[in-house]
Amino acid sequence: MRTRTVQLSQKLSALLVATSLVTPAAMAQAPAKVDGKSTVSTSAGNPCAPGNPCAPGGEKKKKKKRTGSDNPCAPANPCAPGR
Amino acid sequence: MRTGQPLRARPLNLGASGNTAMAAATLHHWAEQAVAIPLAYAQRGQPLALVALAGARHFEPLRHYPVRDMVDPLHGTRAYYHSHDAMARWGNAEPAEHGHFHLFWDGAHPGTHVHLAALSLDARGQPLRWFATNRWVTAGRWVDAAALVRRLPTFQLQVRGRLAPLARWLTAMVQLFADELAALLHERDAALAAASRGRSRRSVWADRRIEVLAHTDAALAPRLQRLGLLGPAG
Repeated sequence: MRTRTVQLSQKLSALLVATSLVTPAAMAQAPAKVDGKSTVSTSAGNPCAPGNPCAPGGEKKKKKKRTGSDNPCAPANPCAPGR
Repeated sequence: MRTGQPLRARPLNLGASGNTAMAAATLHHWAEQAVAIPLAYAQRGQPLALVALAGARHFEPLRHYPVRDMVDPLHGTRAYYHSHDAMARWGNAEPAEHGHFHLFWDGAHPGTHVHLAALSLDARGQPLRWFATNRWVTAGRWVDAAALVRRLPTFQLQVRGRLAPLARWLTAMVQLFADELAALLHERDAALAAASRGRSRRSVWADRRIEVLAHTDAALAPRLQRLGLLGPAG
């Protein structure tokens, strides 16, 4: 127990020294304004709510089937010129 | 001040000897994690406040780091780091807050998450303070302090990848500061009760003038000293 206490004290001292030597992280900066309006999303309702509570992590939005622009002559494209 | 007058939580007088919930060996384990993880980063020139940005090149107010939060589906927990309104919240207190973590339990359904507390860091990554927020800040389900304190020993955040050490550090901090967090949460409820005199609790929960309900010190060295983990000369 005493050995662990001594080791912890030594590590803590090392941490205090190392921390005093690191370059401080840059503070938060709002991105450049566009048309005079900030581009930061303020989430005015609940600014500290979790990003997406309960959502499974890493889920990606399904891509919509691209039926039109890539293949302008496909039947699904209502704007295709008649043959 | 936008925050109203947050109460400063007084730690419960449990101390190391009275802490029956956690064996000394477990406490030592968390203490070692709480010290060794930031030490390893600092020795590589990375303050924890930088690590918390999860590799992002720019640190923008309110944006979550990481973008999708750190999520632990196994333990039903979540955390993220961000920054906003530090001056309005803490004034000119030195060192200045770089950002803060929010720690949650996820609920079974969207919008039923429970906020445990927030932990602020300075720009060198040193923990500054724990604080408990009003309901409008994080939304979600409000759980009274007594119930939250009962859940505290089970709080664990485990994630994979490069943020795994950071998640372990947050877990260690929660467990090391369990007594302080318990006191903080009770102070939060006391502040809410005081603010609710003459009006409904619901109106206080939505009161934008009250952001922080209680806060307490999160400095690591004094905490380890109070727990008797550093020895008399520590």
